[in-house]
Amino acid sequence: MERESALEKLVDRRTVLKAGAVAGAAAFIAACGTPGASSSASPSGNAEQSPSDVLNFANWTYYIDVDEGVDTATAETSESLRRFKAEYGTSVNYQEVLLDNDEFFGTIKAPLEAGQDTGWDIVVPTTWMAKKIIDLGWAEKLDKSHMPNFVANLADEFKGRAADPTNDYLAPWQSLMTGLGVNTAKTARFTSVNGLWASGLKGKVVLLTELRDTVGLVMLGNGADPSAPTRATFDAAIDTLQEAITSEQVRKLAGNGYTELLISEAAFAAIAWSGDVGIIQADKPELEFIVPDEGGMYATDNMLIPKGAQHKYTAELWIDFYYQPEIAAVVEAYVQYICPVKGADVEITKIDAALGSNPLIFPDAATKSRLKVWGDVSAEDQAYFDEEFSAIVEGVGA
Amino acid sequence: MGLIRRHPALVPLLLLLPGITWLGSFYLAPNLQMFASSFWSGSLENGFAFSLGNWVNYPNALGTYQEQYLRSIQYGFAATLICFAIAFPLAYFIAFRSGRARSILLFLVVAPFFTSYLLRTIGWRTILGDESIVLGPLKSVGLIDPSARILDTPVSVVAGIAYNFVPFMILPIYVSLEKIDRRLLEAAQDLYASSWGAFRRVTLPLAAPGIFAGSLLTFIPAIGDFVNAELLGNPGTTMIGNVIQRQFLVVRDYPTAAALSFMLMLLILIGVTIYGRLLGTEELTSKAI
Repeated sequence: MERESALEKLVDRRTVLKAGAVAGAAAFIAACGTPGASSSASPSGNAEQSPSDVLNFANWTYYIDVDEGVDTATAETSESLRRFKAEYGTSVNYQEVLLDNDEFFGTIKAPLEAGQDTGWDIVVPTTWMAKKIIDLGWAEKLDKSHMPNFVANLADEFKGRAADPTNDYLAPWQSLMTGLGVNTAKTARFTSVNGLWASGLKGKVVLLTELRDTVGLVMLGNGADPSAPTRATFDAAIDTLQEAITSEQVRKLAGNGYTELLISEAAFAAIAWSGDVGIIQADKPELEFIVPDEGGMYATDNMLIPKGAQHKYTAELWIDFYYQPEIAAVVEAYVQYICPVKGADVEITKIDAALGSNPLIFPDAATKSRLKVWGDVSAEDQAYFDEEFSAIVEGVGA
Repeated sequence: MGLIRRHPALVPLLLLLPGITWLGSFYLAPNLQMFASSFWSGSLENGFAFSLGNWVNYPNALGTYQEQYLRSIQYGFAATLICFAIAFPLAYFIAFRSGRARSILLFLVVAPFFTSYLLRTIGWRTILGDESIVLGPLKSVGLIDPSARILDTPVSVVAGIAYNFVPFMILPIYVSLEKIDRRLLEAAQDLYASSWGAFRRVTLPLAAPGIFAGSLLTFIPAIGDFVNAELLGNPGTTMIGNVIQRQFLVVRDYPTAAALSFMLMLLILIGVTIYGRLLGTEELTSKAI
């Protein structure tokens, strides 16, 4: 096994991932408490028309650019946030507190229900969760009159989505593919979801605790269609999962912390998110992201302004700022997910020529056609799915 | 001032006031609220409704999660035993044999608290990893199967709990040992007790309050712990704390979560009462506290 010197590891910005579980766990604890947002005295609402001093931004881990050798993004350690501050004087209070959609929703639900400010000006839920927040009436409507870049540069695939047909609430931040992460130095490369159940990988597989990603991929492996899930196809996938867990084929179900298992080689294969694999590859080129033969999952995380946010206007300025291709490219060159901003693929080549044609960031049409988005189901069915999947995570069915 | 002079009986009440206010607002009120929510039914989207008929939440939750309760008790028990096995000799050494190194040793016992609980737990992922300093050499000389692992098994969870709570066992035992009047031991030896006899008949009984306090301080948080099972375990090591955390924050089935929490409290209360009865008298309990 190749070992670098400790010093080398220290200076490589991508070693931040080695602290993956640390940051993940920290975010997890943060998510358990009340948001660590700072507040300013400025009154809420649309009357505010000058940029505020702070902007409270809740995001997922490794989801914005940070400087070399720095672990966490702040208004000072992230190029994109620094440029925003230079332009508007706003110091972004950037917090990596999103680890799980449901869990984060649990932390903002009480103030939203009571009609209070959540402490956040921008949150980044996945589309299905964003839809739930919009349906509950807990999202602020974007004032597109001061968002020309957003209007001009939003990629066409995001226009008129079912969750937000008029693009009034959601500004996509990143999209991600869910597929297989395979350590090809430790196990033979495989391209089928069912390769995860090979006997050689016993105890070396890690799966995600996100229902739509894990069950979606297992459904694809079973030959079912996760864009139109039914109780029957769902139950079949749960059975597959249960068997894999009981037989200890699966070592662990993890949230964002799954990357730590891949890096430490506690796991050789995972159900993984494309961008994570992209970042780990810098240190561990033998790790490969594979869109399975049966297809992969696709999801989008969206910026949303929660109802009653203190700095709505500034939040809109940030969204619009991000929708400039050169800013999106700065973020993308680091996070390596799929970019929703038109023109970023050209801009990114100025940072690194190879990234413009990186299939993980800009997947081609053929790959995209093999990706499925988890289908909408009735509230009863979704509750049933949640309950069944929870039982898997809690180890109740075993 | 005049009021106090005229009614001296008010003094204890006034002294208790901050404590009572604290307990009332941050312990009693949330607990009552949680107790009420254990009788809810409904969902987050459609709202919750209170009804005494929802007492079935309790048997339902118990029926689903009895395995996790049982596992929590087992893990808590195992971790407490391990803590005791580590803590007693160490506390004994510090109290009787450490000489001038005593304060340094005591500091070292507490030193890990200067690092976050989470970081220390995550550290165990490195220590117990599949190719780690523990397993790596054993595997390379062929003593154990190459696919053997400790991490993400019950062993790593119990080890993590024991590691995290061992200072809570060491300190009370140390305090009770340190308080022992050495002349009692000398007297025992003057009366022809062997060292073992003096230990068994003098030291151990006098250390009992510390052992009692230490085992409670270890067992109670251990049984409700979820961090170790989350970070060092797998779906088969889920403890009741993980279930409660998930039910509250992810599934948001507040009634079930509240019922589970109350049953856990009740379980601990009953367990501690029995333990107190078995190990000693009320005097012992009061000494321990």
